[in-house]
Amino acid sequence: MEKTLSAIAQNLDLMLGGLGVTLVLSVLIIFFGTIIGFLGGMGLTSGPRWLKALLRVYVDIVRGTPLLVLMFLLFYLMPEFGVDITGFQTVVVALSLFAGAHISEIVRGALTGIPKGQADAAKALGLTYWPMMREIMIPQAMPAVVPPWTNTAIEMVKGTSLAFLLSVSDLLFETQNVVERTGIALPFYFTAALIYLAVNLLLSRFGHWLEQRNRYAA
Amino acid sequence: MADVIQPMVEIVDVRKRFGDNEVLKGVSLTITPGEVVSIIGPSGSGKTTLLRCINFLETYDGGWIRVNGEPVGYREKGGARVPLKEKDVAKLRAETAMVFQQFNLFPHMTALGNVTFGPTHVRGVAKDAAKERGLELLARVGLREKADSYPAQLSGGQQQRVAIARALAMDPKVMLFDEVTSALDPELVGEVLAVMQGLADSHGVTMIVVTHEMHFARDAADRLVFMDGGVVVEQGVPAAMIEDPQSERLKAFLRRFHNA
Amino acid sequence: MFDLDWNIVLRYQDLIVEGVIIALRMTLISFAIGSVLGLLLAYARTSGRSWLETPATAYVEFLRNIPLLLIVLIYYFGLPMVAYKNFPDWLADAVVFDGEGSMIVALSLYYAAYLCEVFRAGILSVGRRYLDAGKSIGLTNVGVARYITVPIMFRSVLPSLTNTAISLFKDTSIAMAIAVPELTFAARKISTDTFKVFEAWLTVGAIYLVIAWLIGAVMRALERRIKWSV
Repeated sequence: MEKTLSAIAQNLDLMLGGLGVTLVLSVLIIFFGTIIGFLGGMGLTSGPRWLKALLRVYVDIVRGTPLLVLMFLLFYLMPEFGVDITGFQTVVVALSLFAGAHISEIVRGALTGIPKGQADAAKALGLTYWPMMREIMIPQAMPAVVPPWTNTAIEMVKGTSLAFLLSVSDLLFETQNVVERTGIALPFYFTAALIYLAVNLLLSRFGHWLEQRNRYAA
Repeated sequence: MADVIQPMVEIVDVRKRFGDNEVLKGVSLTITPGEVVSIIGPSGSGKTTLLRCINFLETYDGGWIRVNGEPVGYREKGGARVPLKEKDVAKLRAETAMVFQQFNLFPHMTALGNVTFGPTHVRGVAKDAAKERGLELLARVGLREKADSYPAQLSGGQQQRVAIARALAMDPKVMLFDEVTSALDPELVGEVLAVMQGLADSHGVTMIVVTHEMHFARDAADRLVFMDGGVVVEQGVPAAMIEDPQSERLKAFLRRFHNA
Repeated sequence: MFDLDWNIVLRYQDLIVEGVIIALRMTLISFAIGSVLGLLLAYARTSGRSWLETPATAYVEFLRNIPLLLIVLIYYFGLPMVAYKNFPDWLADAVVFDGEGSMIVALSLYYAAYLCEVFRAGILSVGRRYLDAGKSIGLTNVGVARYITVPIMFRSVLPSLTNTAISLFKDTSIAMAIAVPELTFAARKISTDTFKVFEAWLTVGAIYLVIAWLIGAVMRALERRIKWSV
């Protein structure tokens, strides 16, 4: 027991370093995924036909393929196009595309749920597309977007663990290293589990806060 | 030569089809500044579509609509119709205001927020000035004390009055009313019609009112237009038209109304 | 652009077919076990008894917030290290599995949490009046669950069940991390053995897409076969 505790104490900073990488990955992925998702969702609802078709193909292919396949596809394929891509970059790009596809569907669904008269009223006041989106449509879509967005964000934090398979030194990679070096398994694994749990529970709280903030009188 | 008054709204041979269904089959109508025109007709007659075309919420396939001399939605280039840029369409729409059957108030803004939104975001009016004007307009529709309420906290009639104030806030040259009392409970119709009657009496703004309210059409409008099957069948002085309809179609339409 | 050689796919077809079979086998077994566990958890979470609700809720919250890959590593690497040191041999032998078995356990435990939430929403959507009607004809609580709640709930949760099944199928790809020769493992092997990266990954990606689509189609057909609605 004492041996285990001191082993954890000695290796905790390694794991926390891994946590740092996991957090940076998560923030980048959620950020890019959200941008892709909002633009994609708007394109799917109000884009020209060719854009809708293109986005539909993107969303359906990415959502029908395992994240891991998407990741390896990018990792092995980019060099063939003469693009050097690191494991870290691969994870960011692959998971952002993945999150972007899911959030596109979420945003599309939320925008479709807004009564058609809202766009009529906004146009009748003389609003052009982007102000109408920013001031009228997106604010009304938010209550429907935030809960599934939060779920997607949590899936992405968990998804960053796949970086392990590209030897990116994230939390899971460092944990596995420590396990193999010390021969102590469960305490380290459960420490890692608790860290993931804590990060995601914080993210849930953030989601609830966003929900509250985006509520208007009903 | 007599003075020719520039018409406020000029509709010349406008055609519109949805797929195989031609809903406007060459509609022509000229409306002078300050005039209050009621459009009546059975459902499917094309009256709502015509109204939406004036605000370019619908495109039209043939003919011309001009508001205050400006062609709506298209410009002419070498005899062909070229769609206007989004910005120019928006600018045109800002000059006309529309009140909808389903109110379409923005649910995430208060009553006052709805009224000041257009002036601040489209016209560039300063927030304080817009707020002052907005409160004035809410007072005019009898809802000064509801300024901070959200639409969901208001009755249908109150929502529609806020929507009228929102339209007025744009200082429109033309106001379009699309069956604004149809979605209301019967006991709430009166308060909305009273506001519209007040507007009509002031003759400050040109009004085109698509409606089923015969009393309003008769008492408040300067002119009555009867549409059926995508064309204007008959138009004239409201009282005379209702008492002495000329066409068979208007007679049939009015009969149904009396029986209802 | 590239020197494409699709014959490589044919040359490795055994590996690919084997990969598909293993992926589908893992999907089917995990989905079955996960559904049973999920249903039990859902009943625990809606039982109104805190000694059942609290642990069930804790289980669901914990499992849904940690990565599947971590669960896989715990079961595949962590458990044997502990089991052979602390358990009697027969017990250790009983709980320690090979790669595929470990993956099935991990998927079942992980997806039980998701399926619990699916079923819970379903249970909550079954109206009080049906339960009352069931009790009034003399059914026991178990009878009500068996003949009333589960059939009605099953109908309303079918679409979410479909989505969960497709997610589970896609997540079988993670088994390649512990060298289970499933589809993604096959793709990686082909692409590293032959450097035919394009052919390997596009083929396997397409197979995943088609199977995911097929799962959706089968479930929708099932949905159509149920003629009644609530």
